[in-house]
Parts: sequence; C-alpha cells; structure tokens
Amino acid sequence: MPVLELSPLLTEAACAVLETMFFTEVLGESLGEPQEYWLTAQVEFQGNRCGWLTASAGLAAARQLASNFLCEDETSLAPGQIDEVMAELSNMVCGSALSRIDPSSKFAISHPRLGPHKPPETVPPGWQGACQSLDIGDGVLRICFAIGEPV
Amino acid sequence: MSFRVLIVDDSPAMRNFVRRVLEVSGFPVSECFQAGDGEEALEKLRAHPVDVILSDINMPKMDGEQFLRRFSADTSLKPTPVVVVSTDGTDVRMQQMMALGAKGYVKKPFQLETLREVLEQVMGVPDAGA
Repeated sequence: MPVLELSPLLTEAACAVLETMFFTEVLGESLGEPQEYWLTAQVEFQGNRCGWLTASAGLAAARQLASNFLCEDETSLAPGQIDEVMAELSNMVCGSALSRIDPSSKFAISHPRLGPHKPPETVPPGWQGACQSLDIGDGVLRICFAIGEPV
Repeated sequence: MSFRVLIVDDSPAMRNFVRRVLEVSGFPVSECFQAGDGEEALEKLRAHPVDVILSDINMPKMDGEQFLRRFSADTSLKPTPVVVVSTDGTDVRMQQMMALGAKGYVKKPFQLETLREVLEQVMGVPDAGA
C-alpha cells in the first residue's frame, strides 16, 4: 500500500465536520493537556482498506460539542446526549476522511463504541495513520486514525 | 404547500439535527416522523405515508440499502422519493444508492442550505427558503 500523508488530510476532514455540522471553530493544533477524564468514541471500517478512528474529548470539550450540535444549553444536556454526539462525530470524521483518501472505493463503517478511555498516544506499529489534537476552545479534541490492508 | 417528512437514522442526535435544519432552513414541513432503522421506517410508513424520506445508510437491523430495496419493492406503500443523508461520500456508494432508486444524496458533513436545496430539487419546490 502506498504511504499516505494522513495528518493534513485528517485535520482537513475533522475541521470540515466541526465547522460545518458542530458550529465549532478549530483554534489550532493543541500540544495536549492532562485530562482526568476522557470520553472516547471509536469506529472501525472495512473495505479496500481497513482501520479505525477514535475521537476523544474531555468532559468540557464534549459538552461544548454536544451543545453546539444539538443547539441546547450545556446545563440541560443529559449524559446520553453527549455520548450520542461523540459517536456521531467519530462516524462523520471517519466517513469524511475515507471519502478524501479513496473516493472510488466502498467502505463499511461500524457502529461507534463509547467508553471512558484515554485516546491512543500514537498509531500502533504496522498501521499507517495520524493522531491530531485540536484546540476547540473549551478543551482538546483528539482524533486518531489508523489504516491498513484489508483483513 | 408543505410536506410530511420521515427521517431515518439510528442516531437520535442526528435525527434531531436534521429536523432542526429543516425547521430553520425554511423548507416547508407539515409533519416530521422519525425512525431508528429501516425496519422501523417501513412500519412508520405503513401507518403514516409521507411525501419525502431522508435516510441514513449505516444502521442496525435494516440498513439504508436494504430499506431502499424493500421500500421500492413494496407495492402496498405509497411511492415516495428517498434522499440519502450519509457520512459515506464515496462515489461508488452514491452511484449504488442512486441506482437503487434514491432521488438525492447529501454527504455529511453538509452545509445547512445544501439539504434544503436538494429537497427543493427533489420535490420540485423552487427557492422555498427565500
């Protein structure tokens, strides 16, 4: 498989999703900050290539995203709504990235899985990929994307 | 003229997002129904015929592709245009869904006015949001 330059592509896909559907401006790349709690949504995909994507945010950033997406006040959000929005975010960024990488191929994206997991620090050996930490104002959104040969 | 709409998506957050986009876009909606997958959509359509369906592809139980096949083949249901709203923006998927009978395709992420424009085109309602 040819080596892909995934970092700019992943940033482009994430920014398009955040700005268009989540009304959230990306202020720049973040160097990362310690978080006591992370909410991580993960999707996997199969097709001409296989892989996975995680979207992780601290509670404040996840609340901000849910509030913007649902057009509801942060204080009125139920935890389930924040989960749903993080799940949808991971799904959309993955679809957006795949459309950019290989628009002529067909992919199947799994249903998002959610958990209070720390995001990966790097893409595991044997995979191509990228991890980006984006400053979205109320915190950091970390997106990791890994792609490999089909199973 | 206003339209009865069915939104089919397994994400309640996304269904509410689409409903809200329809409200603020100016596209005339008289009633808005929701379903979490293709199976539930078919049940809803038997009880509540609509004028246009907005359907995701990637859903549990019955996905958008199966739904489109089953819906098109069911002669007891009112023929209704289906617009696909999906994160899957690959050319091959778009061509496949259009070949199965979808009348429009909106890739997520989408600009708010894009959904209205596609619906206007599909329903033959020029410039409803103006």
